[in-house]
Amino acid sequence: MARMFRYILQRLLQMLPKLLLISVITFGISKLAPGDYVSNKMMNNPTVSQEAIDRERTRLGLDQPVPIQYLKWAKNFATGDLGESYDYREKVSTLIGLKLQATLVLGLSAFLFTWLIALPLGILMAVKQYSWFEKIFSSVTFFFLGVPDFFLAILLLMGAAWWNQSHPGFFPIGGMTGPDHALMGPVQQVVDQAWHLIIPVLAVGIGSIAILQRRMRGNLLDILGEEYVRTARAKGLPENTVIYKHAVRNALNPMITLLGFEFASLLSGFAIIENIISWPGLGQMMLDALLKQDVNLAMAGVMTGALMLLLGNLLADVLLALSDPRIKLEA
Amino acid sequence: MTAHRSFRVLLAACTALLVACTGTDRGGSTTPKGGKPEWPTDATTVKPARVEAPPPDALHGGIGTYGGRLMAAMISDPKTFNLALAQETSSTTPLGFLFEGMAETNALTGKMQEALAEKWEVSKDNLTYTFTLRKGLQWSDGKPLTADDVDFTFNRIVFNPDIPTDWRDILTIGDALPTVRKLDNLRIQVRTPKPFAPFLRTFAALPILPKHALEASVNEKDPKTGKPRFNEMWTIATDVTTIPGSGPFMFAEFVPSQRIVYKRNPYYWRVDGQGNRLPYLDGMVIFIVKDQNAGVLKFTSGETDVLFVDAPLRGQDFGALQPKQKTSNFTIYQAGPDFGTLFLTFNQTRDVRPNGTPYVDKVKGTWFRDIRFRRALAHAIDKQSIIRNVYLGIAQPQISCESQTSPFYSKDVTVYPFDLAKAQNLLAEAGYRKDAGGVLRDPAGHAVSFTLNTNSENSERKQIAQILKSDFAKLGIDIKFQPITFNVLVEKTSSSLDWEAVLMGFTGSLDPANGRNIWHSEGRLHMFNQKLAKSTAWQPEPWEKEVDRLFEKGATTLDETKRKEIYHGFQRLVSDQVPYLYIANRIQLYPVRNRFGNLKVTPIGGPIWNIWGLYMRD
Repeated sequence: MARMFRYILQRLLQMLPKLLLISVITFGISKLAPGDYVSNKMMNNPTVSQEAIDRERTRLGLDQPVPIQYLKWAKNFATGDLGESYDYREKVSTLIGLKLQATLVLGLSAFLFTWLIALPLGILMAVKQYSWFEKIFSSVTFFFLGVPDFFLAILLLMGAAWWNQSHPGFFPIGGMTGPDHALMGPVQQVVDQAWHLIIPVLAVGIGSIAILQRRMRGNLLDILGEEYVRTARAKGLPENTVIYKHAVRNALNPMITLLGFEFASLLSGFAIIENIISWPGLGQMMLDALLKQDVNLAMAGVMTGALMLLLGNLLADVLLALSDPRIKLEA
Repeated sequence: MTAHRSFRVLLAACTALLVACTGTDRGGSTTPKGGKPEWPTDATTVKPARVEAPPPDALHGGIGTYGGRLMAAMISDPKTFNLALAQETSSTTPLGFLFEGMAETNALTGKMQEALAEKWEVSKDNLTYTFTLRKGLQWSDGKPLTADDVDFTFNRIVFNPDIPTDWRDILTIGDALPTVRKLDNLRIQVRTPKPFAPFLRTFAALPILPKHALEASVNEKDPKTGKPRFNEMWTIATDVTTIPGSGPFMFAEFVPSQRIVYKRNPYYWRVDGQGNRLPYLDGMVIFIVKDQNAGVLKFTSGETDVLFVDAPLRGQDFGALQPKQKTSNFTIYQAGPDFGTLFLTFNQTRDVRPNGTPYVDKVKGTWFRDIRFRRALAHAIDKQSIIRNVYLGIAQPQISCESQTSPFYSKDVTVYPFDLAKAQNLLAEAGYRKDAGGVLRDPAGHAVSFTLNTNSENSERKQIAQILKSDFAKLGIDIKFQPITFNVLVEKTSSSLDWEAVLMGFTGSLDPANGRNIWHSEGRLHMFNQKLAKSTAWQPEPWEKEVDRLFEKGATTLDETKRKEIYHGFQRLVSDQVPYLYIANRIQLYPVRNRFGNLKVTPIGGPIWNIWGLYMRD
């Protein structure tokens, strides 16, 4: 256990130079883009004077050389201060706090939805290889993989709007909660939330089912061809024990690596689709910040994404070591 | 066998989950019909008290009934609730229902009329204004609204150099600010440094902010920045229910990127013809819907009554919505042309870079400065084809530089109808000839060709640029079309001057004086002949100096009729010189559910400018 702890600590330390490099590159690239936040927002408005534009640049420190701007940002970042958003005039950490819950709710629900369906489905498909069942389900899942998620979201909303014409107010068209959510009792609130999750979760999750189930099926088929499986069957173990106790456990290992990547996308995965389904998540705020060159907010978004990816990888490695005693952790 | 069983279990679990969801819904999550929301009201009067002696013209419309809610949608998130610092309509629009000024624009006529002030007087020298507030005004938390609040808004916030508000720029006349003095509890006296015609529109319309809620934040300094804490007040993380307002509604709830929920301000000053205190509606919800398609679905699905409060309908949505008007019980209202402008313009500058090279190629510069060349091209633009193909018919040709909605708009201008023969004649007069290959050559024999830029984010402009390219090709002119990002475009037109022709737009306004930055020869947006700080060879044409003179005169003449004459002359002059080749104005369309009385959609106010007078008919 101490060994594991030391390994995690080492990996965390290794992240620091990576994060530093990522921050330099993203900050630099964002400054290479023409114009800045102020030119984006004020230049073409006839009622804004040149003085106002200059004053805004000075206030935000955009009149200083880029390296100085970076050092200022980096110093604040190192002390845990993410700075203030230009656009919202509010601390970036507060803004992230406002949106974090929504992102996690959607991310985790979609995660549970895809994994809970895809893993059993993948196992079934391996067991029932070449059956009509496999053919139909793999066609269906691959169809949804082929439809881009934002398009699927629009299709689902259109379907819901059509259904609502005969059943007024049945499906909410986008949004995370109903307009009177705050007035509801706790049970109603949970139901309201769940009801609003259906379309978003379907839109976000249904496409990845195909990939996951295919992976699971492939892994399991490989394992089922192994000699120890034949041995187990030969010595008369029940088929259930062979598959679920021996084969599936081994087939799960590569899936755990995948889990790490999924973790990274929890906070930053749904920028475009969030707009369509009016989901108040981090993705759309960060995308907006990038487009508007709201540097502090955009940097916070990029850095969170990078950190989540690094942590996700670490998490996957640790989980792998825990689930498979053959794997040794070495930094 | 086992596989079968586990599949069945899986299926059962899924259906159970679905049933659980569908079975319990409906009552819970959807909008209550008939609008009986029970947002707690902390005011003492739940039913608004009647007011004696309603002011004349209290309401444009009939007497309504209390109750119900209006559901609307908005495309962008509010960025702040601090109105003095707000810079975008997505912040000012939702706050517009909370804060009012001493005067307001009449949404039907465009003229200024009384709001929080019941009257004002202007001194003989046109320099001093005395405003008298209505008696008994109250903030939505019940505190009195007096001249102290006006004095505080101007002297402590707007004129405070430590508070970065754009309002100060609007109020600066020449280089000086007006002085604001409280005379007594109801009267405020303002002196302007010189006569300034747009003064009422800019000064009196500024929203008044509550002194009792903000004074402490103006006095206290943030230890880190040394600036007043006011600069960090009322962000989107603030508890919005603590914000007192003077408008028809107050905030009940704000959920970022989701919705703004309003409830009635029980102390609102406006009353109907029978002295019933307004608004009639119990409240309003504005959903934030960033995707226009999703917004349209939300509307057809019946979740909203008004499509977007901050944007008119797109042409393609009009096509989809129009046939559904009967079945989905709504009407699409036409509210006249848009405020903004869209134009093609050429870089006419004679200025040179510090190293002596001209910003614009010498040959091309002579074309662009030739008025016959500009007029010929203006005649070659097939505006009807643009309106048909790009706007799907929902637009009209723009003829004048002022918005058609503006009281100063003039039709008596030189117009440039699509006429290829005329365009060719004008070019021939100027000595341009088509060669055997069909290429237009200038008098010196150079082939006429230039680069056209527009901002790549705007798909409409890209389509229009393609049509312009084919239109001008008929004259033998070759356009190289180059869409670039907005920031690059602005950098070109405002500082590097490295451009030949651009297709671009400006936001419009009711008073031409607000266009000073565009039209004054030394203005920041005088882009067809931009003066830079480092300019050495920049020179304005005589007609540009004439425009300067007209603008100076227009801004200092207070008589409305004389002002109109001045600005009509200005529009004639500009249309004659065609520095900007105007294209088209989109017609504003607003779909609204058929359930509101007193609804009057106007070009200036949109669908819900009189939200205080709207009532539910069913």
